[in-house]
Amino acid sequence: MAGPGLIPYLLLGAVLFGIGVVGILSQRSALMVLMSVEIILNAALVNLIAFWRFVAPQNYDAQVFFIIIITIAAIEMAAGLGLMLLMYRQRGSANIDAAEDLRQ
Amino acid sequence: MNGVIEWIVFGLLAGIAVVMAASMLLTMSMYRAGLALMASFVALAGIFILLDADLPAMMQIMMNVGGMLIMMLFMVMLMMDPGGEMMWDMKRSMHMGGLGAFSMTMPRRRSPAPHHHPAPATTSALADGIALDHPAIAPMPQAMMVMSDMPHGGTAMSPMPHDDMAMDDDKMMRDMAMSTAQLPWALVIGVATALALGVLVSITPWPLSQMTPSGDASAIVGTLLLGRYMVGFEGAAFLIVAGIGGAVILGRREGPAPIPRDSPTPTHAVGPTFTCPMHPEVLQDHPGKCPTCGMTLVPLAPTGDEQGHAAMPGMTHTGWEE
Repeated sequence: MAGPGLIPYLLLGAVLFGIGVVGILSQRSALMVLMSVEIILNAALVNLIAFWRFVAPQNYDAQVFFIIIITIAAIEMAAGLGLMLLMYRQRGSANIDAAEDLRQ
Repeated sequence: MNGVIEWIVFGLLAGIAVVMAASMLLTMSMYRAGLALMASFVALAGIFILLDADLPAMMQIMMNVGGMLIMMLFMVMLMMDPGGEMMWDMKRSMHMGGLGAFSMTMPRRRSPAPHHHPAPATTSALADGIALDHPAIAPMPQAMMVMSDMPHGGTAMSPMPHDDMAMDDDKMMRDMAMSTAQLPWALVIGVATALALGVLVSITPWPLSQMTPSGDASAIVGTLLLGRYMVGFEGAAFLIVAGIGGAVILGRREGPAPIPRDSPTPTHAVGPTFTCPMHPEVLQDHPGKCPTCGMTLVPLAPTGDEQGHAAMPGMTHTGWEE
């Protein structure tokens, strides 16, 4: 019996992506939205590595992309936390709804 | 045999990753949500090892889990109730003594140190539950609070008929939870997305390769990173510097000034003002129900833009801002 092939890993990525979408759409706090974005990024990373392993295992470019993506994720989180801290100072809350006045 | 073990390990790790990611959205406590997300990340690192990608697994643990630790630091700093203790108290007090019990217990927990808010004497007395036996200023909610604070005292009186309060329970639970009322729609969209993606990846004929990875992965990746992908490497490095610099600039104390409140806060009102424990923008000069969530309004005398920091008095003078 062979081990899990490409499809199970891709399905895992799809499920994680769905969970991340639910989190982004439903969470009240900006922190939780950022964490949901992290879940989606991880789903993409699982797909990336699964494709590397089962489609082009001799080509290590995928792992370079992995490093760059994970760096971008860290920067995104730093920028998001900075914005959130600013929002907390200005509005006294880290809730998404507190930024409603930006709509005008 | 090898394949069976691989399936078992895959099932375990994938189960942990999915269950932990989902429980991040279900738990009441932000702190637990962070821990659950970290567990999900670690399980994904195991998945990477299963995929013969040791270097990404190491990066995953180093950067994502480390990043989550920083996220949790912010959580503890910024959130009103990172541990979910308030939520838990609310559930319990609603079970024991009805809604009125909770709505009066919570503001006491949230109320800052007395010197921050020179409230009128009557108000602070009410909030501290000192003058509760006085008939004139001890209406029903406070009385219920006392009962629920006594051990096993609330249960005897809990079947008290409070139709409107019972009706509001569901509404208020939703209001306190970390998710908004749009959760069912978000669930529908998320499940539909996952299903569509799953079908898509299942029916696509991927050009599979039978080869296995060979060679010294880290050496090859290092060569690629400093050779063919030097520009991307430098771009990422520049982004790191820009991101850290931007975060430091944003986090300075002399950032943009707080937005003045649009509605004039009746700071110098004669009588005590009443506000909703969950919606500080709701202010009335008479007791009643919050128009947004229906909770019983509580007496409070907030001061303009200090209101936001009231929940965490130490927040305005933490050393790291300097």
